[in-house]
Amino acid sequence: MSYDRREKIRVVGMHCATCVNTVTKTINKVNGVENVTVNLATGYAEILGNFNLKEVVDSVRKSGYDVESQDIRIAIRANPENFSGIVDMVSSINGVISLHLNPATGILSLKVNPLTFSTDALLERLKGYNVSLLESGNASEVAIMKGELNSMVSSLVVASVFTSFVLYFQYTGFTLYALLSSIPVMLYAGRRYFNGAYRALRNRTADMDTLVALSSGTAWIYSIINFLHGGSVFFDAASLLVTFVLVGKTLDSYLRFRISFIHVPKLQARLSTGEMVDADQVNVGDTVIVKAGEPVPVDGVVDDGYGEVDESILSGEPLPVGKTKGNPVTAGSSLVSGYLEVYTTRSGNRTYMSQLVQAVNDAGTTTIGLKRTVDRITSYFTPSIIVISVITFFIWHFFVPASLALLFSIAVMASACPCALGLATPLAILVQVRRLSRKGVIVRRGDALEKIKHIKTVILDKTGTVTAGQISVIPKEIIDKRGLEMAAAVERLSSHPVARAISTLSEEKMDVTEYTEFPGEGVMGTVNGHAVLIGKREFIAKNCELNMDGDIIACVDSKPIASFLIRDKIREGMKEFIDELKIHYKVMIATGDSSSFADEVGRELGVTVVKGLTAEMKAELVKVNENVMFIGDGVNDALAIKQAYLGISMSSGSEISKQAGDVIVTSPTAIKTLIDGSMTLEKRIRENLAWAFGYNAILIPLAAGILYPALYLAPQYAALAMSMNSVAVTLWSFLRP
Amino acid sequence: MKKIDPVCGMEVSESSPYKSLFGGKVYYFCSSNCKVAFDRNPEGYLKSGPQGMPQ
Repeated sequence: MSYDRREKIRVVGMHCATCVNTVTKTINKVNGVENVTVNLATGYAEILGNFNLKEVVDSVRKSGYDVESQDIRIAIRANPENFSGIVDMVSSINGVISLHLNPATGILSLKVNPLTFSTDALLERLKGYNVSLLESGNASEVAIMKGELNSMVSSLVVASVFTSFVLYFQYTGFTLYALLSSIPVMLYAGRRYFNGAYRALRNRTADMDTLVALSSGTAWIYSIINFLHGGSVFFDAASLLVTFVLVGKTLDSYLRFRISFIHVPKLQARLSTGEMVDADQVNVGDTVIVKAGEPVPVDGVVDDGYGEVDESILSGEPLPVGKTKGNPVTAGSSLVSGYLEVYTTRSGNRTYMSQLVQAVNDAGTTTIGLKRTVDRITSYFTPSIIVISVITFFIWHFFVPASLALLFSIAVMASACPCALGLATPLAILVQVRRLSRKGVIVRRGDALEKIKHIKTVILDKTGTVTAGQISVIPKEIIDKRGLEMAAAVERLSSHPVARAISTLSEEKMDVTEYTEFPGEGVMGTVNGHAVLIGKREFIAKNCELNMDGDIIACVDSKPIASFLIRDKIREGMKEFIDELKIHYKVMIATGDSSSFADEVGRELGVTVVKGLTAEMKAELVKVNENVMFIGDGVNDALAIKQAYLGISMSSGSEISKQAGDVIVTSPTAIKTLIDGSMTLEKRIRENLAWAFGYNAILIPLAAGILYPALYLAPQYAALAMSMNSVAVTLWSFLRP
Repeated sequence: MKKIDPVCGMEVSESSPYKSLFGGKVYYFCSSNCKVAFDRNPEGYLKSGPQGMPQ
């Protein structure tokens, strides 16, 4: 959807005129953009036209820059069938980049442009709904949902007690007392439906509240009129109807409350002073002590100690991993044995675990194409029911007394359940995203599941993705042993796996000055006054004499002194996985490695290898191929992952690549789980819809009296059956294996 | 210290993440576009001097 708008965004990361050119060009390419002015000094981009802000932001991010944005979360009390209307309404507000409405919780999460978005405009637009702004984190969401559930329970208790009085008095002939007892049921317990119906009317729509209010209200008012004129009364039907709807809805709210959030466990941290504090109170730089059997409370680096850490909660890998000084640890994993002192790098809701949980919570609420279609159908549903109800009364009043005809017409309204239709698609997505997360596939953007069926090309990074990333460096030729010690000292300063392997070739500690790293190429530094250069063959060729064979060459003072071969192991199951991928997709490997080993990997797996690529060249390769799924792990993959139609990063990979990915997997073979998950999702949505529609299709004719007098569905039982429909859809979604 | 991007001629800082080593000398760039252009033809740029933004 697009709108006539003028937006001003702040682009982050521009530092030169080329950046301005790139950003201007990128934004100009977005559909509907008529004019763009980008200012390097301020970082502002002013955009005019009839465009979608999210597309603009996405395109700027894909081109390697970022856009300043702010997260806002609000709780809305509305029926599920109104959600798509609310989403459309809110997305038309200036400054809204993207939004997700969680069908289970009614929490609306917005990403907005802080320069043009106004909270007042949002609240004004949502006037009529019960709306509250939330603090960050999900503690306040839980409190709001609990409050909502408590209020439903108290309504249900009042309704149940007074309805039993209504039944007693009506069946013993005390009609006046029946009327008096029904007042709290209708006006206290049932007020949420009357308020909701009024709100829907003001928004010129009709929803489940309209149907409940119309059916129970008609029965009640008709009974009061008849009471005054001595006719038959249905205080029992009206009260039971409200009570039964509340039974179903309270149960449904309870179920959705229980399954709405993946909770980040509350962890305690032991500071170096021995004091125990809540993990979110630990500051960056604090040292935390972890003893055997305890969970790691923060993200950090081991400062001292040794232990085996169970990281299965994050990686799905069942075997504990040995950790010692310098190794990273992640909050949520647990120390199986040993003792660790951890230097904190992130705590509280900034830990990797908290961010993943937030991402999964949000991804579960994405709107996908199919949902839009269903929403359109749902918007016609309630008005059609009201029409059917009127027709039912009109037909029956020729054959039975008007009061019975009215009961049929009330039963029709009470039996129809638009809620289940509204819940069918989003609940299926929510459940699928959760299930995949338990199998080690973290879906960060829900539409990733829908994109899978459009994939044409799969490009995999080599090191750390296709191969295990446990690189071994084999010395090929060593001319100068002292030079090799110097090269190892320089490599010790780099975090690259090849550099780490070379650094282990010498134990000697040497001072390195003027250290510079050229990502993906090599490093240089000065040791004892000697210029040391070590890197890929091509990099060395431009800067040093080259008369040696090997994948990596080390030079001292422009003379090659050692060369190395790089070897790695192809991951287990990779061959079978790639063979399977090749049936459906064009598959290739893209690697920065230009060694002969890259060709060997290609030959062994039977796929094309494009080697010697820089980060930019990998992104370019993604651009020239159609609908690419790119799978990578390194810093040099982040650009390609962002550029890809579907970017997948490895959980063992670099932080920057994980931030770029639409999906995070523990191993490339888990992509099979992702592909299967996406197929299952489509099946589940269809099942849910079939259930929701089928239930209505059977119940409504029964309520209309199609089998009368053999089978008569009184309004209160029609209402009970109706409210159980959403319970059934919720249960079906969550319990179905 | 400020350096000159050999591709577009802009002033860039030594802290720029875009750099290349050629002939033992480090060259700094304002963007990845300039770095890629330089790496493709370093001698050309060093011989003829900055030629503006690569397209």
